Amino acid sequence: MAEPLESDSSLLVVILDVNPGSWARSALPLDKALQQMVIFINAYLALNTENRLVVLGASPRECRFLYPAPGGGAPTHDVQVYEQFRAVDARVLSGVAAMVEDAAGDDAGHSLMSRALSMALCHIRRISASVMTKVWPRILVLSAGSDSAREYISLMNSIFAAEKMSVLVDVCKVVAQDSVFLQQAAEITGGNYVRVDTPANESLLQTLMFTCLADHYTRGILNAPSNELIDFRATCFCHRRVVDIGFVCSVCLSIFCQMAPVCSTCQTKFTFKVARAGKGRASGEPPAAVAAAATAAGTPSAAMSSLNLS
Amino acid sequence: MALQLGSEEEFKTTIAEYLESLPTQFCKRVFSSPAACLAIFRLLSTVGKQLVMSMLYLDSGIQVQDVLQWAKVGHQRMVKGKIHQLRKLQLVVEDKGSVSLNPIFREQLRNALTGGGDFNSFGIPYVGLRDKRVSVAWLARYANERWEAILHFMVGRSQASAESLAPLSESVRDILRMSGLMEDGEGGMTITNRGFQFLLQDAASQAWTVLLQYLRLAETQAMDVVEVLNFLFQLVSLQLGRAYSTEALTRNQRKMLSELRDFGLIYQDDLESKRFYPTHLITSLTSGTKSGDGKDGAPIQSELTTSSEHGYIILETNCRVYAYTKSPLQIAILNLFVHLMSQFSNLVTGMITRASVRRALLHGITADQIIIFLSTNAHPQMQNKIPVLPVTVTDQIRLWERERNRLLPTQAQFYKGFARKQDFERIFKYAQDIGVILWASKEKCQMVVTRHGHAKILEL
Repeated sequence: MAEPLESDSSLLVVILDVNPGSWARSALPLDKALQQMVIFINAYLALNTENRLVVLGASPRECRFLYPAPGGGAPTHDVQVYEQFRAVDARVLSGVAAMVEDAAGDDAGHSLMSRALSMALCHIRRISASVMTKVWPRILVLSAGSDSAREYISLMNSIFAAEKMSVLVDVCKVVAQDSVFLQQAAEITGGNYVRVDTPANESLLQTLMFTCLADHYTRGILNAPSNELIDFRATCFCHRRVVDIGFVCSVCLSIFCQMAPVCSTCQTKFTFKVARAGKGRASGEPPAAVAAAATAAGTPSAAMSSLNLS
Repeated sequence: MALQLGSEEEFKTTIAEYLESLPTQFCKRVFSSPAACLAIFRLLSTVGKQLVMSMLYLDSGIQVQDVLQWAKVGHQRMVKGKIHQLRKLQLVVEDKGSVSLNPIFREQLRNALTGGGDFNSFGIPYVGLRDKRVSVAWLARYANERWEAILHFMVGRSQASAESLAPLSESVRDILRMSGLMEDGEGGMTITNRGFQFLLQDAASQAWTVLLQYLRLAETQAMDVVEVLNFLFQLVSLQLGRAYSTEALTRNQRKMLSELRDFGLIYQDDLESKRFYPTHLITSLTSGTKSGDGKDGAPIQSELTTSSEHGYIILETNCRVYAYTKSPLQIAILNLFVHLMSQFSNLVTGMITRASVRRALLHGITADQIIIFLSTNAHPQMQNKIPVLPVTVTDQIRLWERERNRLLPTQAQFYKGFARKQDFERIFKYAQDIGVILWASKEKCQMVVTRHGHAKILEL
């Protein structure tokens, strides 16, 4: 993989979590956070004139591109800001306002983070393919909500895809609660995970500037904040519960909390019966069969033959 | 690689030198507008930018050691060097071991990001009747006409086409003369070596040269440097296609405006007009390489690619050149280093021969410049390949250049006929210590030292 040069441009995709319910519960109100976010975006654009920016909004109901907005009109003219910044800022602010209005009803839902990540990655792939020079992509997620267990699989898939595409994922959480999935996202892709607890006026901006503004080249030179211990436990595929010890299908490696005769992901049949821990069967299966069942080695036919032996 | 003439690098270093040499009061004035701060920020190195941004919203200073802690192991010296550079540019002030951003600079840069402060510094748009015939395409055509007229003049083509413009104004000639691109010879002005190099560069580098020349002019004519700098910074951040008002400009700035008009960098109806339009030549200055199409996520500054910026040269591995152009200017530029053989209605063919390349080298053009010119103007089909130009041809051009450097004369003194061997040894050792020996032979007791060393040995 090529090394980043000092003059290379970046592509930053900002995923804003606009779930009104989560923001209502956080210490920092949404509009203040947005103002600081907008300044951060301006700073990013000022770094390099070739830097590209995409902003996505994620609410419990949908994910939308806020900038560049499909079919947006020209914003009203106002010379107070550097004009290029003004165009972006106006679009982002109006887009977020529109999304918040649309999502007003769902208070308890979780934002569609995995959908937003997938859209972001597809967009990154499209832009990288269409541009002649090398553009270094990264994603910044500003999240105010908590994890949704049903999103684990899709989220992990997007994270691994991001890692393959060498996209850094930075995460900034505005609430006190850690999000395990996003922590893993930052850790696996090589990005930073920060949490901003205090509602001080500019602390979000300063944190963002310090940790998430650096591009690929600068990250090789300046340090990033270190990550604490991350909970890498997985969730089971059948009930979406976090498990420490479970059953793993030997063909597709999907995780279950209880034994199932057929793997739901790859439809492999496991037809031998397993002896539950502590409740031995009356027929007294030899321990070898239990060991074979617990490891579930080989194809079903091989399992059958090992059972026949016993 | 040495600094390219008039390129962005030279502009950056010149600005850096100016800022370093300005006394503090002047710096205060330079930093007093958000546009200037933003433009200066953009000229910094990447690590410098990150350091500035990290300190932008910190109200108190931080210890230097803490800042050095930010750097990874092995890069601390580089970061220290960057802090030192920032200090030289007077962007960072040090106070008893803790550093912080220059307060004026910090204030105005924050304003640039948030939209406060003196918003006129980004250019006041003209509120009034829109000039209907001025559109982005029209501006592009106007700018190209003017620019090509100047380049034509430099190349020496005196043919006037149907849309001939007035002969170049005195101020343009002055600028050309002062930047060393042309000099006065018999029968008018003739082009210099630097002028040839200038011709081969892309439009952005050429525009940087012109702007740089204004800075130097300001120095020599004792104009207010700060005013000129501020105006330059403002110009560079204007938006293409919008009319700006000349109300707030000072007399010197209006004079600069009229001279830039002759170069095609801006358009103004007449000298007294209250509005002016920047053209793509000046707005695309800060966006360096050509980027892709302007679709989603595109860079904010949209640039207008005119037909003269599309590639048109095809170079074969047998050194034959096919250029799909009928512009006399481009043909004249190609003629500098290509032996043109035939010309058709939309095509010019030729060969790159040893004679033609040596002719160019004699004019002072380097092989690298020829290669860069060919690769930036290469036809899109050629640009799909890696490498863009055939390696055989590029290597051959470089070899032809190195042929001229086979012999390197140095003035020297030849010693022979030493009476005793000890004498030779003594002088040999001394000369070796001061490092002036070019050649020596112990058996024959002879050696060659430089002229400079000869003076030293005579003292001995």
